[in-house]
Amino acid sequence: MTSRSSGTDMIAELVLATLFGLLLLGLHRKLIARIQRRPGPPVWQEILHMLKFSFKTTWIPKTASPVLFVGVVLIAIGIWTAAFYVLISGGSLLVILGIYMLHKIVEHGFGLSSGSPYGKYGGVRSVISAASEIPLFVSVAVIAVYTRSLDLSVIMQYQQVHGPLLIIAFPAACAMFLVILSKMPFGPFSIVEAKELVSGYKTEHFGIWRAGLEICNGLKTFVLLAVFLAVFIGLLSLPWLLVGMILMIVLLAFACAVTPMMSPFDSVTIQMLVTGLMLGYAAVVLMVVHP
Amino acid sequence: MIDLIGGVPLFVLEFGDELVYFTPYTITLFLLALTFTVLVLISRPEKQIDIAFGGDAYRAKEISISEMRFRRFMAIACGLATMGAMVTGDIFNFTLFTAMVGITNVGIVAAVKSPHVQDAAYQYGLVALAATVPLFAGAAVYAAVTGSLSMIELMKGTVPAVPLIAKGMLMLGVIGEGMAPFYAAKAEMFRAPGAPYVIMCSLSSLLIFLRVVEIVMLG
Amino acid sequence: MKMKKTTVARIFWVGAGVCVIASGLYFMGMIPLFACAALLVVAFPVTILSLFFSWMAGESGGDIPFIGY
Repeated sequence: MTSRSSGTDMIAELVLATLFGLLLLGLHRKLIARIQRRPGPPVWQEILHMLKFSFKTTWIPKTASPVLFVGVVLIAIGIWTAAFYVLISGGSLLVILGIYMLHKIVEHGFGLSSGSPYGKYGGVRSVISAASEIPLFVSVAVIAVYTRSLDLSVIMQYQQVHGPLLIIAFPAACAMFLVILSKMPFGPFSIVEAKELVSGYKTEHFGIWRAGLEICNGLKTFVLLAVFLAVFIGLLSLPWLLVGMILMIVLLAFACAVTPMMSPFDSVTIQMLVTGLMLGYAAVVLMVVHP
Repeated sequence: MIDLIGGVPLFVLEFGDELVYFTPYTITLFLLALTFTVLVLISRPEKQIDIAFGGDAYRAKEISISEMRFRRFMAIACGLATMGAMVTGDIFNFTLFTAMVGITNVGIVAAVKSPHVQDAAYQYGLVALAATVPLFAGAAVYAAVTGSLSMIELMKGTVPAVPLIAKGMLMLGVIGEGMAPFYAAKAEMFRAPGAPYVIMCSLSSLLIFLRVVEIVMLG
Repeated sequence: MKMKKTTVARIFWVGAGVCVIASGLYFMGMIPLFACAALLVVAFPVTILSLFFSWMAGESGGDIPFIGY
């Protein structure tokens, strides 16, 4: 997780990260089920899911815009591959943030490209939940005020000297946790895949397209959790990184299991309130750190 | 305040007053804008299905060739304006590209024959119009304080510090082009059929927002 | 638009080749990180989807769909 010159097998790291991300999603489902006193699927269910979808008969719906329908799957995997390499090379946090926000456009593309009304509403909801990204920006701004850089490698060096940012900037960590929560399945803010919309934006992407989407989700989970740990805990060796991610998933699973899914309006309202609080906090930090 | 937000500039093209530069950050954004513009070029619109609630009836919306041509043109213009805003190194050019994105966003849905979409486009147009006032005023304050509109000069730190109000106005102007909390009218615009073109609406304002974050952190 | 199983398999082998060669060249320090990452960002999604297509596509025709009682 530091900037490295050479000597790592990039493709193997990418595949392992994807599989571990899917395993984390499976663990997430299992934990939610156990908290709700259901048996739940096995932990490796999401990997099986991905493989199952990859064997299914696949075509492009007649009403769909074919190039966009297929292209958006490739873009979804591509942008998170890019985010993964930015992460392992200790690149700019701003690039990862940009990719996180573009994921919303990808969800929008998934929903709109098929022509199905369920997909369309899922896509429109993903645009409405744009409010969840603003706390992310504010927490990044707070980090920038402390570390004076947005390079992940510099942020990690800062924490080796000053201790973890989790303690120094605890509200920023909370805001980023909320942002990750809003991208987890079965969470209070996952209005894009609410059951009244069948499966939201992924309704019409079946078979191999869905398997590609699962790959994207695995990689996305891995990258988001690893970025959180890198930004707020600092440099971790690989075993500790994996332990940290599992702990994060346990926390997220508890948050998802005990909260109902909100209505789109409430979800946006709460995210806007958090944004307001974070803006106040950022103003205070700016005045205290740079008087 | 913070040096080299988007990384070290990889390439700088100084062309008189015009200035183009790439950092790892802006090149990522540029490539994404390019990818989606190419998608607009080569993909055909989908046939949106509407369900009549309470019954089994549904109907598909077809897009006529002339409507498709106009909207594709607007979407490509929007993509070009977005790409321009990503690579420019001049704050005034950035504001011009941002204003152009606002205009083309209305253009993308202007040919759709649906009263909901037309209403939403009109309301969005009013907000975007109002937002250009702080946008250009912000750029004017930048020029007045620093005597330069070049982002490379701002990056060097040789010019006087930019006041917070200028950054705030620039940010407000961009947010008014369709970010939270002004995206409410924009979300209604996405009812329009023609996925590749409609995606350009949300993509362009998102990318411009990501770019302005870099710009306000420079000075 | 129909693609044959062999065509998809060929796309897979080309994509996988690009992925392995790019990461191999980076492993030996012959290309910088950003070049390797750029190649993988383009090649990895194509490889994954074509791999899935190659093992999904059957050589024979499809099975008879269930059309109701």
